[in-house]
Amino acid sequence: MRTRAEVIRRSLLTRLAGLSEYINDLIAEPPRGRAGLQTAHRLLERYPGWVRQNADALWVRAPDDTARYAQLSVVLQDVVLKTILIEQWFGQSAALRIPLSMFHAVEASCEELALHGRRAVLAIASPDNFETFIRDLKPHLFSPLGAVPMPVDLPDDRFAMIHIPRLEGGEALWRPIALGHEIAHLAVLERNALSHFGLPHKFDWARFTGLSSGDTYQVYRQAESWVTELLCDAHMVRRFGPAAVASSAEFLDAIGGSDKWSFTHPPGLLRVKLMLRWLGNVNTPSLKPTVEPWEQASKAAITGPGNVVNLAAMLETLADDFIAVVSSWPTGRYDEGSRSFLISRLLADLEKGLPPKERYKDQQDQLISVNQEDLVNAGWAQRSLDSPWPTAKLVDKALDSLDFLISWTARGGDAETETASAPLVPSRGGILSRRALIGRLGPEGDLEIRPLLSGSVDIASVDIRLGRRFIVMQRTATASFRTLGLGAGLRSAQRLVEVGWNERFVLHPNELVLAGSMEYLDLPSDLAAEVVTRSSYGRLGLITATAIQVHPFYRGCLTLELLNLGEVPLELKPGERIAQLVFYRVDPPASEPMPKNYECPTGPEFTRPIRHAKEIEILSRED
Amino acid sequence: MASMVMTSEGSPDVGRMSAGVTSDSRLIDREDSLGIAVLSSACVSAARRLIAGQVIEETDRLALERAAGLFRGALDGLRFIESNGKQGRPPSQLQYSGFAVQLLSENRKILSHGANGQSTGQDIAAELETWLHRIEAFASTGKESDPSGFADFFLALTELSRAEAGSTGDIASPAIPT
Repeated sequence: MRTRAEVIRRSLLTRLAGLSEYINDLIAEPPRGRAGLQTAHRLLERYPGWVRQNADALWVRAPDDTARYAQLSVVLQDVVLKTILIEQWFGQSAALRIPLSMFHAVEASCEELALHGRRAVLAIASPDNFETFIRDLKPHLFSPLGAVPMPVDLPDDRFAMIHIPRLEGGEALWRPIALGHEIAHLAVLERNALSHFGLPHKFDWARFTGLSSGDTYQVYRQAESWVTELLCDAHMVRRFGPAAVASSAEFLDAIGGSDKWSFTHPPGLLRVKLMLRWLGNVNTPSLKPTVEPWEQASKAAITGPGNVVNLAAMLETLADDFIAVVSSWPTGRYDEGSRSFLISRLLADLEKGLPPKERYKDQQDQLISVNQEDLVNAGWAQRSLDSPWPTAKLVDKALDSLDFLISWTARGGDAETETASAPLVPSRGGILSRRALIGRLGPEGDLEIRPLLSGSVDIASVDIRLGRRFIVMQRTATASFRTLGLGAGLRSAQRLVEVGWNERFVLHPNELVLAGSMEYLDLPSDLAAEVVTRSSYGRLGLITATAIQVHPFYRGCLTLELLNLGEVPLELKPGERIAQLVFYRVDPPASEPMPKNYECPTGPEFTRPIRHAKEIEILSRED
Repeated sequence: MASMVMTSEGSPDVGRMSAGVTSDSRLIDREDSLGIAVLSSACVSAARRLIAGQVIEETDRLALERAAGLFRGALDGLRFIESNGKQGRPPSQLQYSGFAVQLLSENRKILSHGANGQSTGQDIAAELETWLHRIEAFASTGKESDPSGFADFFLALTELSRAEAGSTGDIASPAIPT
């Protein structure tokens, strides 16, 4: 008869073999542009073999079956926990719905907090939670099991691992939570912020008399945990201003957390009260509505068991101490008051359905650069107005363009535009020349192309660049698709891929993919445009557009249909000037916007049903 | 009296922007519990080696030293609470901040004093100290007068820690209200 130790050993070895196969599958298809995940994979692939070595050594060394069972059962359970970790953070496609710009933003935020060299690992998780893995991945995976030391040749990279809900993960408006609160958890640990807070001296022991030693110990642990959360909230408010309160208070409300508390988290109401206090007066008129609903709600009293109310009351008296700790961190405070004029400009663009630009002139005619915090705050201001435009999408697009420009200028690219003070030039008709184009794109003009980099306007055209999102076609089990009345079926044949600014997208011979222009366009009533492949690309066999007409009033990025008609694969890089827009006058100007199939697209759009339902019905009738 | 910790959500492995929706009733973090189980199971192995008539190995000695550190930490945590924060170390500065809770919890039977709600912090500290000296002596001399008792204690601690880290394979039970 097998012993219990033998059964456990067999179970352990079977699990390790399965886990090893799973990790090999993950590694086989490394996610594009997500370097953190690729580095983490190098740790994961070594894990099963290392556990196996431990298990073998423990089995041989153990003096008897009791010791064997005791040790191997723990190792087996540890493998189960580590498998949960791998599934939750590195499971297939876990990160693919999160924009690449978010990965860069997380790494940049870590740098700002002097958390140097952190690699972003972002994954979609529960819809009611943002969470940060606060342990170091390497020592956590390879924590001592008692027999074999940690391998010496593992990568030393450290990570910023954050779980993001699917909805909020794709929208920049929620960045204060991920980049403010969540990353602050890493800073609290790294900067020993709990010690700086000095809870042992500030804890009001008299409030908790009469408890047993165990219960007092637990109340104190709870206080430490609550202080940690509130420090993270304080950092978020300092970093993002009103947008921090708007996003976190709405999120807490959405998940039913306003009146909730737990061992690790203080009551939602206490958090909102303190965040408003740390925020102080909002000086920008358009931002006031973002926090007003929470000012009303925060007037309620915190209720709950005695120790909870006591702890909350104690921490409320320490409000200023939280902000004192996070003020010593390297990240600057977001001063919305000094950005008020800029925010009004961003808001004006959002109200027109345009993604804000990367720079604006201030009242003194000086160019000021827009930053992420400005965009997110303007986004929340616009959201509070119940705008008809897809605000979150427009802010995301602006942040993506900003992400490109940071990468572009870091590599020596020129971010200046030539339209900054160009006068409007009257034109009578025909194709618009460079002078006419620059005038229409200038401050007095009504044509918008964003971003517009130096040298993009040619003699009678505007170059457009390749964005970084592609819709690739894949084989399906469906026999064929009808071009009329396309249903949901075609979606199964299309898959979205996003590549990094430094990566290449390979287009194989005879392959068709949909790509987005980096530029977001807004055409006035009297202009239309045609998309034309740049000749040097055409000579390589590349077709960039088959649906080449852009109508008056079009607003959004263009979807390009890329087709390689050549004999060799083509390597394309996001940011390449791949096509041209040739503009011409529409006479007389269009009187009203034509109905559109695609509303403010900010990247390539999946194929949707073809218009003209009446005609489809006629053509579909059997004789 | 129910412990206040019973609305603990998930694990301190993660810092969350959540409302703290209760999903679990663990006393301490699962990974910490498993870490304690690794240590205590190694102590079982060391004691069983004596019972089998063998001498302890270097890995046993290292495990015993780490276990001593675990008990030292629990003592520090207890002293911190007993002195209103004037002595010892706060929980956040301990590697396994929940270990003391695990030992002190009234429905556990690991420490005789911990199981008795009437016992004082000093009683529990004295018992912890006794265990600490016993582990340190075993680590330094390689000898233990009652290896069976020693192995049984750590076997129980291993099982307790595994249970703390474990799951029923079902949806987590609702938390016990305070």
